[in-house]
Amino acid sequence: MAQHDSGHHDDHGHIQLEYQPSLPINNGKVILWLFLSTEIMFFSGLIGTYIVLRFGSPAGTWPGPHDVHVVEKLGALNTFVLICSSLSIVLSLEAARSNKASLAKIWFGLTFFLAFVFLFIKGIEYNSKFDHGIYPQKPHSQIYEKADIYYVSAVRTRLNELVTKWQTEDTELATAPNTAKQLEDEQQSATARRDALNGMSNRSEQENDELRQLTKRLPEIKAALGDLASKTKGLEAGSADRKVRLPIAESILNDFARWAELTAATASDDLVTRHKRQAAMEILAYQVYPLHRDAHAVSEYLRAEEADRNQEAAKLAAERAELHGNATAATLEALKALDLTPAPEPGADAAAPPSTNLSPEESAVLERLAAIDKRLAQTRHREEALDEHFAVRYDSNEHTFMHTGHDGHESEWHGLNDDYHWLKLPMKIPSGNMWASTYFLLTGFHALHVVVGLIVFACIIPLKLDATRANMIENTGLYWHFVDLVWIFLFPLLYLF
Amino acid sequence: MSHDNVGHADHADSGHGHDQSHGGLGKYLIVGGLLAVLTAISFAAGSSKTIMSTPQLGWTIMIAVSCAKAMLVMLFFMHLIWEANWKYVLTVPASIMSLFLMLMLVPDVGLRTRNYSEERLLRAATPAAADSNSPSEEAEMKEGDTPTDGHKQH
Repeated sequence: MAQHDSGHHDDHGHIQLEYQPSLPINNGKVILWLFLSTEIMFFSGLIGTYIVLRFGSPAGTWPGPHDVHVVEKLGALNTFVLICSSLSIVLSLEAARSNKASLAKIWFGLTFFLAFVFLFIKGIEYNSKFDHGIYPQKPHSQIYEKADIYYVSAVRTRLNELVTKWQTEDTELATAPNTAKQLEDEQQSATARRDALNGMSNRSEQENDELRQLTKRLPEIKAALGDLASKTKGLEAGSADRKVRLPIAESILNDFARWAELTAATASDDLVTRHKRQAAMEILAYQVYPLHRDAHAVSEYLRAEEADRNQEAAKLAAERAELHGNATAATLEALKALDLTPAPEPGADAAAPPSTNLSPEESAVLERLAAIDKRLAQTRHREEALDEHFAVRYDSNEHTFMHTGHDGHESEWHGLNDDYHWLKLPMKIPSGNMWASTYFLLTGFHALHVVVGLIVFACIIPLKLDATRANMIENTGLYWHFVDLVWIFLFPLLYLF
Repeated sequence: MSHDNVGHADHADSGHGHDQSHGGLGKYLIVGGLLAVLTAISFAAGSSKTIMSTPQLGWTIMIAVSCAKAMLVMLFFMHLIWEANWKYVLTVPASIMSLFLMLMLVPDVGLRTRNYSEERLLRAATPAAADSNSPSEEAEMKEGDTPTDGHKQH
């Protein structure tokens, strides 16, 4: 490669200078290495940004692997797959250089296959993120940074949406036969009238008009009936699901989301109340999507809430008994009319005083009693809902909530979103949005490089991989090793840090 | 300088003819095995509760392992160990630039939370639920279970 006929002789005869027009490697390799050096900068830019964002996030907030459904074992497996593919492509190059074309093709095919395996595993991983509502961007992303009032109202909105949707569907299903009957009646009378008009020998201008209208209207009715039938079929198919899900969604809406929102809306601004407000929102966030690091605090919050509830209930019961004791005959009469003795369902309009002629004081007593009973009912419902949808035991050694599955086996509790996969409630994952953006960007760009590698492999595989193709394989290999190199850094940074 | 160039050219020239003598199945298999072992090491470090209780230690181990793996891949699989000195021209400046790039991000991006306004902090992520309340607040709450106890701050 070095050239000796440089055209002019140096005066220092004993020094033989050599003129070298290019690097001592083939042009393809030069270009590939230039490309790789830009790639180094591209990926270190990405990885560097990730590191800086991760360590610059508000202290102690970056989600751990298990908070965002990252499975370290799959990452390690993928690392191994890429290492094997790097090894196989280098062995393919070796074989090609010694002119063993078929052996080279075997190793090359193995590389191709391993690249597919990598993408397949990556697909499984992405899918599990999407399944859990972890997306890099709205509107799919359901990640909230903290359990504040915006978060709680987002949870309430979602539950409201579900409940309203299902209630509307139930109503539609219930009224469908009626609507169908109306349409059929109209169809019948319209057909009869049309036939009658058709039978007439000489129609007036007005009757001709009517006939035209009817001819237009009849197909419309038919289409509407068809639509209604298919819609009813769909509604009937979903009715079994709705029957199970609606009560669950209503209970979670009233006894978890609204409870948290009501508590969070307590007006007083002293420290104790402020703490309780925060606790209520944290409990809700944990119930929806439990983060391991919050478990201990939430167990404390729940204990405090229970003590509060019991204390409040005892106080209210005492007040209730006192009011009953002091009640005048007229009040007692009114009470009987209201049938307040068993606590009414929440939502029942118990607060309305009866229209008997009570003194203002007596009305006030009645109103207070109704309010007490309403609150007691709320508390009771809260307890029932906790028993039903949050039947967990706090394990103080593992610092986590455990629940018992259908098979009697106790395992870590994964939250309402996991128990009822159709809920898809907003989740509190501090720094989760930034995590999702960086994770999908880094792994996405890497996967894109794998795809490009696959395309290149697919182009080369049909060729005869003998010594003349060695350079081609070498250059492809260089690119592929670089893809491996990037993953070597991504694996610990994304899965283990 | 010119002496050096002559040397490299000669080396490359003579080395080019028998490239295949550099690698060899055995050498590649050893490197592949080493890479697998190193992956296992960083996986073990990352999953070990003892090591990750001091995360800085775990991070250091994992990054060191990654650098070692990267070196193995570049030197042997990418044949850089057998290449002439041009390899430095292409790899060293790119690496230095990328290091600078990362450092340049630190003031504006890495330290961003230091300059957050009150308003921005309201929307920022908070750490684990337990940390969002000071211990004194926690204690206060336990004493005053009833809201009517009158635990006013002021």
